[in-house]
Amino acid sequence: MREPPREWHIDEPQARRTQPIAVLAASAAGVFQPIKNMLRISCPHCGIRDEVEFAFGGPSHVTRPAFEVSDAEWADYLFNRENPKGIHYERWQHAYGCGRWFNAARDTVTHEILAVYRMGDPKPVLPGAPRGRAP
Amino acid sequence: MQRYSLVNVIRHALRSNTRWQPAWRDPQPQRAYDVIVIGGGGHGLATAYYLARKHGLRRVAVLEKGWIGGGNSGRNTQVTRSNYFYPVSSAFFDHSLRLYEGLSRELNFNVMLSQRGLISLAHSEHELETNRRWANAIRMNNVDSQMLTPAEIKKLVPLLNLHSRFPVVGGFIQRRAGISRHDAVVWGYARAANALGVDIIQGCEVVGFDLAGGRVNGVQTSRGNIASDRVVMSVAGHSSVLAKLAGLRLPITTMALQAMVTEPLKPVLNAVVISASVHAYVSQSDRGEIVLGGGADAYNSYAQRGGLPLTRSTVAAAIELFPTFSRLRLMRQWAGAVDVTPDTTPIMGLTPVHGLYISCGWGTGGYKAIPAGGDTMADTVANNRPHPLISRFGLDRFPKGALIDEGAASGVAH
Repeated sequence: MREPPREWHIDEPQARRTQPIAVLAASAAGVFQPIKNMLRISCPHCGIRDEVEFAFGGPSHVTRPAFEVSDAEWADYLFNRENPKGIHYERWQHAYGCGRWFNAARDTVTHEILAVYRMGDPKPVLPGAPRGRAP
Repeated sequence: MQRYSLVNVIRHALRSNTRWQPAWRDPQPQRAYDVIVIGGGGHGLATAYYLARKHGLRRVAVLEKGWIGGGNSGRNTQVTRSNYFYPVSSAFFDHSLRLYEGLSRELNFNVMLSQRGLISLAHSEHELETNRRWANAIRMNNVDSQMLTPAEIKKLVPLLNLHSRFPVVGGFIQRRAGISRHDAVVWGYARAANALGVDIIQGCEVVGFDLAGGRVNGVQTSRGNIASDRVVMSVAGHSSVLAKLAGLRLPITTMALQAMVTEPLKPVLNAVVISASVHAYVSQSDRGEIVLGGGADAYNSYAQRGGLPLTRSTVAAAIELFPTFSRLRLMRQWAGAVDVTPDTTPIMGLTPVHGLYISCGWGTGGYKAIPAGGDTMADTVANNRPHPLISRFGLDRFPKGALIDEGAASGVAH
């Protein structure tokens, strides 16, 4: 298998807009057309693909605590989540593609994917303005 | 408060309807309150109303960053039901349904509760077994439910296609369940709370808390600081953001839950139909629109708009069940930012910060809980201990591992 590229993929803004509902009803009725306005995710191994090929894997960089911890610390690890309004570092699997896992940094308000990086890599430093507001 | 009655409707009609008063005031925030409720949705307004009516607290403010009922209270599908599996959930949600049953009279505002019945469909023998277990558990919880054969379902819902790709082999009904009018619930509570002296302050965003020694002393808002030693957070999808301002981390994931309506029709569907397998639920509003809902998008989102792949799967599931609807056009599609907990049970009660209370984690089913949520939170705040009905819904259930996994038990997210 080809070695994945070392650098991150920085995508163009991918803010989604609503689509005329007629197109959607037509597609649901069997007249299939590609849905253009959904997440387009750049798999580090396969390139840009549609959202429906991927499975979401929740937040990344959640570190399991040491063996001996209090109930509160263990519950914090198991259940509590950062859940930011803004940049979210998260895991995705290209389930209906290569099947491999990777990380993405995505804005939870605009849905813009700002970076895609490999499992095990540290959080990328993202340039630009603070996030979390719709444009 | 001007009462709404036939006599008053006639009297105002004779004066050309020019003398109706606004249903609530638009007050300036005062410097201090007995209780501040953050969030002017159904839950926040109901909490303020019961604080004033049942506990005699008159200096209560509801702070809303946008307009009341503009969040999830205005984005739900109005389904009102109490068919829960665990006794602790059933007791709470049936309390809510009972309050709904008397709500129009209590608030002097027609919330248009229509107990037309809610039918959960089974599409396989295994699902039918699960439904039977669930329906029996509901009866054991002293809530009504009844198994239905395909013929009985067809009689209640003639348009339903029993021979769909996943054939309908049975189901069960909660006859007391149904729909009500979501805006009316918000406006009814707002009007009644206002009449009891509650200040409903719109366009007032909380940007920080005044904390000292593990206690809350007030909030910082876009319209100045307001003092209060009791503050309730009731902000649904934004709970994590708000709680972080108070130094709290929550077991909440915010997701987009979408719904949509078609163009209006004459009455064709006199029940709420839910299918957990194909994941769609369908009802007809009093305005004639067919209301469709489905699952939430898989990923974290504060965007208040749903992804199209899920819209498509919801529509596909709905028209498989009701082929007649395939010629209808959708008029609107929208989403709410819902606060989902790991066990799909709400989080209510005290927090580690003294005087700071929380009501969140309503996930995809907060609307039906508005009256009970407000009633029990008001009691909790007034007495500084969890109301008995919500004593197991506290934040402390997570370290204890005492989860109430209603989603797993009943096989459908709320």
